[in-house]
Amino acid sequence: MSFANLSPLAVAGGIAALAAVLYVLQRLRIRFREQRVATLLFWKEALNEAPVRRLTRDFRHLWAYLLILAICSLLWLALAEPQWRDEGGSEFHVLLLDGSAGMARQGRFQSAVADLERDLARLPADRRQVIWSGAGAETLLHPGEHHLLLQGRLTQKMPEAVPASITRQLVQLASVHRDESSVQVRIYGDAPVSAALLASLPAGMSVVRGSTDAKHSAGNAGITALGVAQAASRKWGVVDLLFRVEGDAAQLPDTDQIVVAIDDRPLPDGSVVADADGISYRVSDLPADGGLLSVAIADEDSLALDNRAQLRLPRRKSIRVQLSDTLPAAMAAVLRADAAVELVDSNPDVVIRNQGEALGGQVAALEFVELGLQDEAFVLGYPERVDSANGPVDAPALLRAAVQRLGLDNIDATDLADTTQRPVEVAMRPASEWTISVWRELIGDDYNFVRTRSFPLFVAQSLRWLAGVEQWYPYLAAGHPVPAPPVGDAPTFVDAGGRALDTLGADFIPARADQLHRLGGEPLEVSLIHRDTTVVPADNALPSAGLGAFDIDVTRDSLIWLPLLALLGLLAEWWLYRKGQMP
Amino acid sequence: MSTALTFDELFDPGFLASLTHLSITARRVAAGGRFGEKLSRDIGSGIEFKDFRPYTSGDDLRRIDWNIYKRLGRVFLRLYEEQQDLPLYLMPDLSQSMYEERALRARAALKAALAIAAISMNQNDSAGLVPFGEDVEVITKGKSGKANIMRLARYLSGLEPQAKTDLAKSLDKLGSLNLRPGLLVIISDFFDPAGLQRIAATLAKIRHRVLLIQVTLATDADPGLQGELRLRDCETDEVADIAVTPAVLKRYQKAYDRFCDELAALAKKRKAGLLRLDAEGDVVLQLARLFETGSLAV
Repeated sequence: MSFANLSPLAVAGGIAALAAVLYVLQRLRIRFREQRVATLLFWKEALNEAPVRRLTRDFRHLWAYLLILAICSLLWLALAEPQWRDEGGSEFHVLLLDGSAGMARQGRFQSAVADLERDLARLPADRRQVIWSGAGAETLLHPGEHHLLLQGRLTQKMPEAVPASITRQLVQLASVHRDESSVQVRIYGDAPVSAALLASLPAGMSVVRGSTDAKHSAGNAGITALGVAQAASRKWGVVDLLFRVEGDAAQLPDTDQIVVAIDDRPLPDGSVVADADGISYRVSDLPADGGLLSVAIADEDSLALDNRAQLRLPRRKSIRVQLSDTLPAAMAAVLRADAAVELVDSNPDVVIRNQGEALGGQVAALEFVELGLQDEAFVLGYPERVDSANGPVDAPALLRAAVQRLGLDNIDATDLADTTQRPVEVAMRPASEWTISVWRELIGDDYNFVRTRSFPLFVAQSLRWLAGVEQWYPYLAAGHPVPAPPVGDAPTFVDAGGRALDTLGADFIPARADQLHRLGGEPLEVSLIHRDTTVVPADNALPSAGLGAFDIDVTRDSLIWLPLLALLGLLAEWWLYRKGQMP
Repeated sequence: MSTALTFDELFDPGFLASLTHLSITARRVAAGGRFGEKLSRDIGSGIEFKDFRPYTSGDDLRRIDWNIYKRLGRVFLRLYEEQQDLPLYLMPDLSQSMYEERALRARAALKAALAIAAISMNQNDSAGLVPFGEDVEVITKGKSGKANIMRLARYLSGLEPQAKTDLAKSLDKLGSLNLRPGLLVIISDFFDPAGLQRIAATLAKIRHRVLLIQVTLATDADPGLQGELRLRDCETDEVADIAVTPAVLKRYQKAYDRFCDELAALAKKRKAGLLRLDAEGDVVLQLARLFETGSLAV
């Protein structure tokens, strides 16, 4: 037996306290009403058989005391709400309520809540727990709390525009309940659970779906992938948009039902081109000027949350480069081949010159220096003002990122060292402007660097690093891992509120349909809903099961029969009192 | 402490008028004799022949049976039973218990005393008044004749309540007064803390014939009390705390019934008459009913 509202210790303590209080009350001297009588002769005789209660007198009315104690104890037990379970009901039940976007389909959330409340009332309070699984996890009902509390706590709960987090919850629960012999997780919602995940759970943990099954992809199609890529036209200031719409085949939209807009200005008709697979779409040569691109499916379906996705377009303005005449002609050829570069004679973003030249003035510079004047082959300079603006510069981290981005880690340093007979090193030093200083010999005739395929790449990356061109991810697909960044550490996704998002699970896409997200400090922002919300995954292996064998004695019964027993006790006391057998 | 009842409170004109009716009823019942009719142990001037006895010096010569002398030659006296009046001694209880509950008992007791005295006095018997409480007090030893009825009523109305009941002591004292044997009428609730046994022991020493009149109230048998009570005895001031429940009431009633039975047994053993008088009823009517049915015999 367990108790819904009180611990067994509290129940026992309460009964003991009641017994003590009633005992004292039984023995307390009472306030008498004085009555004058002609004689006490007959009262004395009656008194000898039924003496009045006195504190110091022997406890005479034991049965009366026991009866009133039983009545009070029954009421106390009713307050504690005892529950009995059968032999098969010894396991702990975790009830997960899916609050993800998929539950926003009409009636699905309400149905799941009804199923949960139905099962909840049948489970022993101390052996069940209800957890909300939406954008984050929240315990709605702790073990031991009365199930009626859930209704109040659910009033503010609605499905959130977030991907299902059930998988994440299961992983966490598996960790929490690893040592428990028997835990059943009951999922109320449509979030899929893969067979692989089920197989990885501890032996004592079982997972079933508590809510009624639903073909939750029926009547729905949604955007599951969105991204931009280098324009096929190879133009620098534009990108190509790629997106995918999946779901119920009957709901897949025609191209004229897809609205693509940048900063709320729709693109002209015919801009969207469908691919041969019927689910992928392309829009070419969109201006890469940092606008907010949105894709929306105009047709109504059962789930509106996945009908709209957003993406912040990259900013890709041309890099104004001024080139010194003293440099080899190959340099000019490389620059002319780079679509991002615009050669100018004045006001450059970046200047390429030999060290000591005054060309371009105080701007970011790619400089070439004689080998004897610089110990390291590559010296990256960062402006001092960075120090004052952002605090102490983490020079090693900055250097590591720069080496990756510039591709210096891919240069054949051994060959270069053999040629120059000097160690090839990279250093980073404070400077007046962003600079990259390189041995001039590298672009000389003695060394074939200018003739290698990596030379244009080095120049292009150096110019972009010096000009501060932002990085961006070319493509994000809901339900797939985030692509590794081109350079630097693994990304950290943060939501609009600045909170770091949990990337547990390989297929996590940190997206809300109604919010944009930032990736680290980079300008990439994207909004997508999880693919599994839109499309039924093939390995959704979760079985549905009712409580069945785990039936618990209905809690409400004790709320009825315990007060009834107490009432019967009171009637018995009244009857005994009327019969004169109760003081 | 309760106060004495006034004459008007006790004996209203209606009651006094009803005494006449009661006297007539009593006389009709006692035709051929008086209420106090009693054959005297003395053998003398009566009219009922009893026996002969030899003449001794000093005997009344008028009682010699000369016919026997003629036949036997010896002198014998004719003896007759002598009829005497029966003195009535009224012992109303004046203790506090009689004056509880609006002095209903005291009113009834004093009215009953006057009523019985009236019957007796109407038949030329003498009636004495010896009220008691803690002690007995002789107000008047014997008055007879109708003229004394009102005087007795005055006496009765002037009686002061006493504190406690001690009937045994009062009877002892009465016995020591060496009164002429007569009819002793004790009118009381008999709520004597000493108990009936002591009363019985004392009564056994009394030479008088005894009539017990138990003045009762309905609340004696059913006090109608309930709850946690501190009962205070009106005479002794003794208190008893009690939780009055139906069961306690039942036990009380048993005790009261037992008391009544013991009183009846005492009367029977003492060959005394016992009259139970409802203090809330009409006293004259209750007494008249007893005379009419002939159930009052002492």
